Amino acid sequence: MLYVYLNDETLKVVEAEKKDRRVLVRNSYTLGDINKYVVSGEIIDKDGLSQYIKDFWTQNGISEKSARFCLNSSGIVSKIIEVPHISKVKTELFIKADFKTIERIREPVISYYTINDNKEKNVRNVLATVADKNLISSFVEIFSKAGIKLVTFDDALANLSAYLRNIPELLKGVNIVLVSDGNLLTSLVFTGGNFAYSSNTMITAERETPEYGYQMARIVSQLSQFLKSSGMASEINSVYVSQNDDSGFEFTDQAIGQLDPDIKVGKLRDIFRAVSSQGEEQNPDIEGYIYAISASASDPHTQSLIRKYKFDPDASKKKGSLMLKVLLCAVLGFSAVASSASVIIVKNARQNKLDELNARLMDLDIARSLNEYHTNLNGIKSLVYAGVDLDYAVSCIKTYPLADSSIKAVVDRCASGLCDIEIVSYSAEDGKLTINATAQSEYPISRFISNLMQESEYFSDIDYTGYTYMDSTDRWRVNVLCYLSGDELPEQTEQAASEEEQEDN
Amino acid sequence: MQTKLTARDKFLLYVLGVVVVIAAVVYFVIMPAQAEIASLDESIETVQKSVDLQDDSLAKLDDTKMAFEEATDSYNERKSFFYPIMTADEVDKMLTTFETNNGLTVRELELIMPTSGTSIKSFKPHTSQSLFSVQPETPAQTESSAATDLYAEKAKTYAEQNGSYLGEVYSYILSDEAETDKAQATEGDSSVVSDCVYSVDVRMTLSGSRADLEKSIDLLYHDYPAIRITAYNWTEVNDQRSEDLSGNPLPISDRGYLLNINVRLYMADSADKVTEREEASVQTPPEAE
Repeated sequence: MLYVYLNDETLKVVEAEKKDRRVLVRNSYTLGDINKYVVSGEIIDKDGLSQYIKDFWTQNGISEKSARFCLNSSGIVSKIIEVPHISKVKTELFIKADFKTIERIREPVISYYTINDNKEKNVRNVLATVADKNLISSFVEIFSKAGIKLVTFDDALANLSAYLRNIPELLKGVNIVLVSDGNLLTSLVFTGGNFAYSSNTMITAERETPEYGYQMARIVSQLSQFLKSSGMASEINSVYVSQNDDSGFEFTDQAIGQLDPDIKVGKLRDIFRAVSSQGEEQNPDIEGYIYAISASASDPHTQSLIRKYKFDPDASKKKGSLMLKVLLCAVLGFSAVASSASVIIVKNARQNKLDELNARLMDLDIARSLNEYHTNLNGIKSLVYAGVDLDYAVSCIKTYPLADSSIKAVVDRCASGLCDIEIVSYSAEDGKLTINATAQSEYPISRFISNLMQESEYFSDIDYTGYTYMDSTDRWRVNVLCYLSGDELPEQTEQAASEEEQEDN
Repeated sequence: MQTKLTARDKFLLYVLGVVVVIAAVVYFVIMPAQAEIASLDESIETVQKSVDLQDDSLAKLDDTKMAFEEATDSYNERKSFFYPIMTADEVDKMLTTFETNNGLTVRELELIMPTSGTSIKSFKPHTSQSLFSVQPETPAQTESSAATDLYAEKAKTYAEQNGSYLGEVYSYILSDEAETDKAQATEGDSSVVSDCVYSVDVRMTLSGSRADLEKSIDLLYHDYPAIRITAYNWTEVNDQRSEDLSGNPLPISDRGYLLNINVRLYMADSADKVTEREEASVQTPPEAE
C-alpha cells in the first residue's frame, strides 16, 4: 500500500505494509516543487500536478495504483469538539454548527472519530475534520488522471493523532509530541493516551543549532502553561520530538531539561511503530515521512473523508440522480433491446411460417394429390362436354325422318284405288321422297296428290311437275316429290292435339 | 477553450442522447424489421391463399373421384347409342353380314372412313311452298334442351346428395353448355362438329327382291339407330323375275331390283379416350399443338 502526504511544499510517498500494528516501510519518496501547483492550499494547476505525479510514478517505477492520502493544508481543518450522545446524523449537524470555518466552505464534508467518552457528563470528545468537497474531488481527480485511486482522504493532523494514540508510551500521563514538517512545527498533546490539543508554530532557527532547541523548549513551556491554566494538566511527563539527528536532539534535550528536569525527552522514531524493510530492529528515518506513514491510521470504512464525501447528501442526491439516469438508460436500453428483439422474433416467426407454407406448397404428396384432383376435374369436364355432344348428336340423328315401309304405307293409302305408285328414290338431307305415280286418267292423280297433301303429319311439302301422257302404256304419269317431316312430328302433333282437347274440355 | 456545461445543458444533452439512441434503434432496427415483416405478411397472405386453395382442393379430392366415376358412367350410358370406333374392315364385315343375312347380294360397297370428328346437324323440314304456316320447334332444340335439362337435374341431385361441390361443377359446366346450346339454336341449321363422334359413309349397291330390300331398309331404320340412311334409289332389273310363269307382270314387291343405298354409321370415343385427349390437350404446350 502507498501512503501519500501532501503539503504546500512537497509530496511524500511511502511504500509500506501494515503488519501487527506496525508499519513495514519498504520505500519512501519525496517530490518537491509542489508550490508550482499548490499555493496556500489552493490548487492552481490541476493538470500540471496530475502530470507531475504521473511522471513521478513512472520515473520511480511505482506499480501500486491505490493510495491512502493525507493533506496538510489550510483547506482542511481538524478540531476537537465535545458532543453529546446523539445520533450520527445529528452529530454531523452538531459538528457543522460548531465549525466556525464552515461558513466559508461551500460544500463541507465532515468526518470525525471519538477520542474519549465521558459518561458522567454524557458527552464525548471527537476529532472532527472538515474540508470542501471541491478540494476532495480536485485531488481525487488529479490522482485519478495520474492513474492512482485514492482510497482514503484525510487531514494529516487527524491521521497523526489517531496513529499516535495507540502508542503505549503515550498512554500514561501528559505527553507532548513535536513533529516538524519543514519550518512548521506541530505540537500534539496526549493526556492519558487521548489526543487533547494541538498547535502549529513556525520555527525560524536553523536545525541542529542551540537556537532550534531553545525554540522547541519555548514551545513546550508555552504548552505547559496553557495546560496548567486550562486545567488540562499540571505537569508534563514526556516530550517526543521527530528529530533524528543526534546533535540537534542534544540541543533540544538540554533546552527542555533546563526548563524542567522532570520532563523526559525522547525521539519519536524510538516509539513510532514503524520499521524499515531493511530490518525490523532498525528504525527507519521517519522524520520526513511521519505524516505519510500516519495515513495508515486512517480507516477507509469509518474515518476517511472519502467515505463521507461519497455519502455526502448532495452527492447521494446526485448519485440518486445518476442512478435514476442509469435506471432510465437501462429501461430505455432494455426497451430498445426488447422491442428490437421482439420485432426480430416476430420477423423470424413470420419467416418460419412462410418457409413452412412454402414447404407445404412444394410437398410432393400434396402435389400428387392436387394433380389427381385437377385431372379428375378436367376429366369430369371433358366427359360432361362429350356427353352433351353425344346427346346433341343423338338428338340430331333422331330428327331425320324414316323413309321406311310406314311412309310407303301412307303413300299406298293415298294412292289406293287411284293410281299405281313406285318409290324411286329418297334423300335424307331434305327428306325428299321421289314417287312415280301412274294412272288411267289425270283425275285420280290429282286426287292422289290431294290425298298426299292431306297427310301433313308426314309430309312438310308436296311438289310435282305436272302430268305426262305415255302412249306406250296408255296411262298418265306424274313424278311427285314428297318432303318428309321429322320423325318426332307426328307424336308432337298428337300431343298438341291432346293438349288442345284438354283445353277445350 | 473550455466550455462549462450547465445543468440545463447536461439535461438537454441527456435527453438528446436518449432521443438519438431511440431514433437509431427505431430507424436502423425496428423500421427495417417492420418493413420486412410487412413484406413477409404479404407473402404469407399470398401463399396462405394458395395453401387454403390446396386444402380446399384436397378436401374435395374424394368428391371429384366420385364425380369422375359418375361422369364416366353417364358418358358410357350415352355412348351406348353409338358404335365403338371400328376399322373399315369391321364396318364392311358388319354391313355385308347384315345384308347377306337378309337374303340380299351386296354388289358394290364403298367406304369413306373418318379422319376427324363428324359434322352433325339436325334435320330441317322442307318448307319452300309454306304449306304449314306454323313451324314447330325443331326437334334438335327440343332434344338439346332436354339433354341440358337432364344434366341440370343431375346437378341438382348431386347438390342434394353430396353437398354443393358436385352440383357446382355440373352447374358450371352446364351453364357454359347452355350458352352453347342457345347459340346453336339461334344459328338454326348450322352444323356442329363433334370431337368425340365419328361417322363412316358407306355406299352400297344391293340386289334382291324389292320386298327384301325394303325389309332391309326397315331393319336398318329400326334395329340400327346408329346407322342412318342418307339416300337411296331404286333400279328395276329387267329379267325373268318381272313376270310370273304365265307371263303376267309380277307385283313390284316380287320383282328384282337394285338398291343403291348410302348409309352413315356413327361411332363414338370411349370414356378413356375422351379423358386421355383432354389430358393431352392440357399437358401439350400451345406451340406443340
